[in-house]
Amino acid sequence: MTTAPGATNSRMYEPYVRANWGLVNHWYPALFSAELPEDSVKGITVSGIAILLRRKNGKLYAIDDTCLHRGVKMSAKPTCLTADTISCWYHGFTYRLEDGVLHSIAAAPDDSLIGKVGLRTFPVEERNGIIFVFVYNQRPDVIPPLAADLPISTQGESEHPVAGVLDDDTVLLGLHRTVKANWRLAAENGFDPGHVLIHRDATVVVVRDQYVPLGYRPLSEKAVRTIDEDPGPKGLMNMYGTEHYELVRENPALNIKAVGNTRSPGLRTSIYLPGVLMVENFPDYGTVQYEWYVPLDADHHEYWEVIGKKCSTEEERKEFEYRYARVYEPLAVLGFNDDDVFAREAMQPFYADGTGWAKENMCSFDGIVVAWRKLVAQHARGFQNKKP
Amino acid sequence: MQLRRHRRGVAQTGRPARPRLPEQEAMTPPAPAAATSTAATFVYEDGVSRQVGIDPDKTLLDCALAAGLEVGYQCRGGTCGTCIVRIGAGSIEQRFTGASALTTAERNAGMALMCRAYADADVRIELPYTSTWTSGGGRPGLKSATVTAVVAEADDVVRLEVELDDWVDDGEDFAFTPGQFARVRVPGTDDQWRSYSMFTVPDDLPRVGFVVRLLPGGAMSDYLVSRCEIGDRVDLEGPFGSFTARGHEGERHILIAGGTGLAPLLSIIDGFRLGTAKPPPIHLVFGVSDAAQLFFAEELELRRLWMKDISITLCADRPASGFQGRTGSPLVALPDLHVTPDDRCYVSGPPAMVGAVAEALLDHGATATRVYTEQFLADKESTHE
Repeated sequence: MTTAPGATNSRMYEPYVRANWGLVNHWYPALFSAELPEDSVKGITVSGIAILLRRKNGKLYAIDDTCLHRGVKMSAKPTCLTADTISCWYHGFTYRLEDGVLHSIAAAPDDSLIGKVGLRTFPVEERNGIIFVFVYNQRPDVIPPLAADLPISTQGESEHPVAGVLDDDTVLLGLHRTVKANWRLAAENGFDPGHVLIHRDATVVVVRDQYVPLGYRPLSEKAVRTIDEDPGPKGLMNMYGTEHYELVRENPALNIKAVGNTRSPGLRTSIYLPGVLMVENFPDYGTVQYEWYVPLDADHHEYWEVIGKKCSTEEERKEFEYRYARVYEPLAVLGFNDDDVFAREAMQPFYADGTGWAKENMCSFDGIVVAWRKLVAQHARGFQNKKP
Repeated sequence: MQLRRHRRGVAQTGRPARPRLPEQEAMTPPAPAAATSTAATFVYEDGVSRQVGIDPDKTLLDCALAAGLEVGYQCRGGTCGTCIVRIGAGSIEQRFTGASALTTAERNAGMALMCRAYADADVRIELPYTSTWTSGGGRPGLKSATVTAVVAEADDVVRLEVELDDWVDDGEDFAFTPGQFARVRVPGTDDQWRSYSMFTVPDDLPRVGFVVRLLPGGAMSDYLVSRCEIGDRVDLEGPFGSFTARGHEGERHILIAGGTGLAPLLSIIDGFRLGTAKPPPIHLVFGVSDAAQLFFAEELELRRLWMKDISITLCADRPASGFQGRTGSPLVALPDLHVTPDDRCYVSGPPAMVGAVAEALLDHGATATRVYTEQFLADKESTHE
């Protein structure tokens, strides 16, 4: 990463500090496929932009949810008068799903606005049970591929490879929930090597006698690997399991020690633009946890928690679904991650008025957090600084 | 009679809220000059005027839009009132198909709605807003502000930052377009006003920043050097000026600054950086006489870090050791720019430098109508009434 000689560290990530409402010109998860059955309509929000999704005749559409007439959300009362349009329930402004152009107005079929104005449509892709949408304020000429905004593939890159989001035989199971914290606090919480302290009492840790250190101490710059591909992925990986990180086992002054005896081979965390985490070989060896922190507004994000596993047969899939329902969801996705939700919401008030960024005091294990801020400042494709 | 305030259809930010077809985001390029002899002269409130050919079968609004003018409109059907204008000379015919937003009193006062107006002879149209209104610029006004920073950035350059008192976040209060300037009254005087370009952007409001060249014996210089304290009251008037970014996405912007002429150009750069559209390719040339006068080096480094398509060349007539730039005036950087007629060129700084650089740009192939200049005169008083 290039440095700016003479530029103070925190000024280097000033665009990140400004991005209160999230990022734009990136791919984000919108809905699970199961949440949008055929012929249905659902509204979501990403970085303050309200987007309506529809599945009709097997095809997916994503269009502004804010009617351009007087701003109501069309998804509040789904109204589809023809197969290829969506209408606003209030006055009948009707838009073509394909290109967003105003096609007619129920009570004013000759209005001067028809054909001359329209709503934005957003690129949409559905992979392995998740619908992704490309969010923008002003449509860029070139839309980067979905893979550029997802973690790297670990095939051939790790001794303990895990299922990739886009792999054909990957099964992804999970949920998403709204959390009362800014997207940046959520992202930083995901890969922060000092926060494992909050997880030592998690049921899944206790029941398995899982080894959880007090924290991870970086021993050199090699502790963090930078991923810098064009147009993506762009991210940072904690090289846990190498000699560059020390597992802190005890703190005699505090009479506290690491817990557990069962190690987690191949466990690594990495974070990527626009805010997606990969936790390899967690909750079980051979599974992977993906998290997204989708900005909603300055005070909320939609927290996506998805467990992935390569399932080559129907039997393997059924077994994974069973284990997800009985073990992963209650103990990891909810139990373990509930502590992260608690932590983010507890940190939110300090940063809510914008002064936290200047008042915080970073310590020796926060280097990767600062590196993430600089990475976003330099490589994010667009910033949503205020309500769009 | 007062022209009606054009509030209808204007979004929170002060810009017209007109929705466009998704692919019409960028300003439409001007159509070639019409062969017709019938012309409409559109005159903005700040005196900027454009002459546009008229098609008698098209509305005045359509003629204006076809010529690439930035005008206010929304419904296109005579009901919202946003496109109201005064007919200054000549006559037009209003064809309304239903209820219109034009009152009898307004019509009697010579007002018209462009979206339903047709002309078949020369006409003069007065627009009730400035030429920068649609890009966010507001009406100039008097503002009181408080000094929040006064920092020596170089031997003879001071950064002065103020915070506007009682600023309202309504998109109109001191709404300026990057590149504009304000008149600043020297505290302790009644009538000593000096003009400075903002180096900050509207997103920074209520914080406003200027860079001032210190001149021995200058009224503002004396104040800044000997009397200025954080918390001082300062009066501002503004925003003024039309040295603002224009052009289409993809056109390279060549920005050439001499000394404190960097201020409006940094504002223009950040205006692009913080906007929603993809910034155009930018090349900034920043020249100072003496390397000791170089300021904002860290700011420029950060723009290099944050923006993908920006190059910055520093020039100094008298470089110091370790200076990372060219020796000489900004003129020495011109050949390597490979100027083309499509480039948009902005030059700001001392008059002699601006004159020389503007001429050299034309010699290198720039198009005259795409070279914009702003001269920084010592102790310059704004000529705006």
